[in-house]
Amino acid sequence: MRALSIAATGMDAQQTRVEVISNNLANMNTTAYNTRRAEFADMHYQIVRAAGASSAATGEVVPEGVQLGTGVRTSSVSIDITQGTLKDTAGDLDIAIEGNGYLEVTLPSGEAAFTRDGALQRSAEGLIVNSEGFPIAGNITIPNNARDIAINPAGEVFVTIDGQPAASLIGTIGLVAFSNPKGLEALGGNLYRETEASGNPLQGLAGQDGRGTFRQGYLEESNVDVVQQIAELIEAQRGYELNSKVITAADQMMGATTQIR
Amino acid sequence: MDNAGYIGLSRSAGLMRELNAVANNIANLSTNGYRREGSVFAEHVKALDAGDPSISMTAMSHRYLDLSAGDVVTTNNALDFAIPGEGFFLVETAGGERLTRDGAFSLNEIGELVTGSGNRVLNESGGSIVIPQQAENITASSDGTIFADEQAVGRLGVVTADAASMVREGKNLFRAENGFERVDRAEVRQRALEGSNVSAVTELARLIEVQRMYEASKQFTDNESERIRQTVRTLGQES
Repeated sequence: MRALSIAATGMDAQQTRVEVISNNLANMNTTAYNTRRAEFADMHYQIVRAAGASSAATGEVVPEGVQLGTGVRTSSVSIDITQGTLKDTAGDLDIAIEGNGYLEVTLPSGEAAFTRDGALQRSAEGLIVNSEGFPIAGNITIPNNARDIAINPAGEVFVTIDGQPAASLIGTIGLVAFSNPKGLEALGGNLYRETEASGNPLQGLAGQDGRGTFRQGYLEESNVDVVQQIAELIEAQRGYELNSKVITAADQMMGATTQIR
Repeated sequence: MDNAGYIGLSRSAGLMRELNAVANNIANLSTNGYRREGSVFAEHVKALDAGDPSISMTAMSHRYLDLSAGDVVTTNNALDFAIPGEGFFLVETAGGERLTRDGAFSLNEIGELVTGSGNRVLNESGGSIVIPQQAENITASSDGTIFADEQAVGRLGVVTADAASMVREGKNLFRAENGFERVDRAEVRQRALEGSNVSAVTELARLIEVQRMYEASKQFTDNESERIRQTVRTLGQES
């Protein structure tokens, strides 16, 4: 009675899909959140009658055998890394990345993590940190007496200090590129970590070798398309119902079997 | 039980198998590029003793691969590809070259185009397609040529094979037992994915049909059992 377990894998897959969609919808207002999509693949097949074998009844070669599938499984949850829309915030430490690239932050463990969330802040010591308080690579410190902060598209941070006519450069925010950004491991808190699939982080400057540029006073919104997600949610729900229908049918057939006299 | 009972049972066993095929189709309702599976029942003639007529049993003789196209939906992803017409993408696995209609590709750590399971996607000459790391814009023309910042980096290999010789391997892959042929004029669409070609309505109708047929076949077995019982009872009374 494989139909029961096959339908169970189908329900499981649709449930995974609903979970992914609900996570997307929950994060529709998360800065720089990337939409996830569950991808499925069929499971292995049981060969009941091999193609090419000769039929016992007639001695003819079977052109197509009998292969019975065993269900579906989630093959991957892929990330849609297209750019979200940029929202004007007017914050002087809000920077959006226009194009490819990630900001590098240093976790308390000393490990590097990567993010596209450019809602940066100033720590008590004047260090530029992300919203979780992790310092941005380069450890750029803003002097206490700085009056105005300007970040140009190349990531150079200039401050105007009271009493000085010209703005002075205090550091440069770099951008990190990956061969396969979709292979990054999400850590939560809008942070990602490099994996074997993502390739090594390639540090560089904004605007170089295909990296994007910065835009001060803007934040990148999530790229969740709400209408599309709702449509997919409905599809997943119907798919779930269909699979449960198979379970009911299989159950009734089993019931009928036990009643055969 | 006599022959009639066995014939009824052969039908029941076949329907059970068909139910599994329907269940597998429905389970793969959301699998990219999944091809629906159909089953064909055939008469299985069994010879009886000399002089007696032969009897017909039923058996699920083969399945067929429904190669009709699934719905193509547009996505935002530059690495999603769909073939609106005939053909399969060619991918390389440890076991050799395999065919797939699932075009949800991504890149591996060295920038090669790979499938969701990490198998390299092959170009028309059988090599891998490498997207340079600094590429900002990945576009594709309708013949499957991929451009990274207007620089052609390779053309997706599209092949066809005889449906009868295709064996399912799972992971959305097919093995072409009798080889495959390259398609020169294949149409490939970027930022689109082909869904499964399973029609929910058709499968549900088939499901109900299988269920009812099963009940009918069970009823037949029951009636047959009743007939034998009646016979035994009648013969018993007469003696």
